[in-house]
Amino acid sequence: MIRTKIDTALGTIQGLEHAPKVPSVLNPPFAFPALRPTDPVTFDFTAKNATLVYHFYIEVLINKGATIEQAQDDLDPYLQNTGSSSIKQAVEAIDWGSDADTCRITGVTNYGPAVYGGVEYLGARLGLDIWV
Amino acid sequence: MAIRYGRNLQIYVRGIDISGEMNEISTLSEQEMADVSVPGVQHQLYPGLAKDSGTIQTIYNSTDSAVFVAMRQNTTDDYGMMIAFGSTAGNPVYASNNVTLKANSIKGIITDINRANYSFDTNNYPFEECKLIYPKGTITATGQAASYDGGASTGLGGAGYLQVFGVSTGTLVASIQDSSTDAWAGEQTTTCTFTAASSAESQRITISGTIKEYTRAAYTVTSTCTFAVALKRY
Repeated sequence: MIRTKIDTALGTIQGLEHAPKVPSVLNPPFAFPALRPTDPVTFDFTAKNATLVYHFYIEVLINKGATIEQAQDDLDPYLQNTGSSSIKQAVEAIDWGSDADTCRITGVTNYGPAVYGGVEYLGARLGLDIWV
Repeated sequence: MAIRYGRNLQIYVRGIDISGEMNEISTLSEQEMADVSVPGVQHQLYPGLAKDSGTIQTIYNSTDSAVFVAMRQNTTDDYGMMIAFGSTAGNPVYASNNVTLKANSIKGIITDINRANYSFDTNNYPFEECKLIYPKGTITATGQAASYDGGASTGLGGAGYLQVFGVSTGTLVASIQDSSTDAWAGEQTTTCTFTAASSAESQRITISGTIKEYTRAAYTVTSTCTFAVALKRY
């Protein structure tokens, strides 16, 4: 359900394709959540494991297109703090209900070439901590 | 010797289980030392009364636990606190029925979740290191719990601690029974009986004389009740 809600939030951004998991086929501009490869879950934040933290990242991929400059212009709006294309704004507005308590987009990393399925894109990762 | 992780901590305050919101707890037991040195003869300190204190770090959320709301708003009553280092009979428990809130604070950091901190002192009796006799559990009919082997009989009395988390209807009358043989065939005696409880609360009861090797919690109820019992042997 957490992935589903992230996917729904990404779907509120016009023009952005999305999926709840790492896709086998993608059509940029595309975004999807994935668990961080190292330490993806922090257990036992409170006693009786009542609180834990999931450490995701949201991968955003853009076709490199004709020029790399244009690809950066296409990618940057998704990384802004606010705005109609802001992934941070869309994800932090999620009503988690009983699935989680709160979340925060922590920052942007891996801004640069990203290879999926043998194809090189321009991409970036937004860190996402979800408290459950 | 069993080493226990903090993740198994349970903390109860006046019949409310706040374990799931607690991130850290620490207690401090200290005694004021009076200088009774005799000039020119010897340097000597004499211990005064013990005074315990502690702090709790928790997650602060918009629907705060009732106990925190009560602790912040009521600065006159003492609270019963039970810190259980696990949920199995025989686990150590720090218990006091005279905890009073000293200070509290809320902390909000932009890049972190909101947190709350509570400092408390104990009046009268300091924290006592007990054994968990009946781990927090729910019962629906009168009966007795499994027994716990305390290793040996003791003759200096002790104290019983009770945390009641809920009573559907009627009352819960909890007691501690003891036996020398673990047979529970009529040879057992009642070590102490707590006052009848009809809602969430905490109690401490003094025990005098011998406490036999085996003990167990016994309970008389007319509805569903949830409670925990700890025993201190002197």
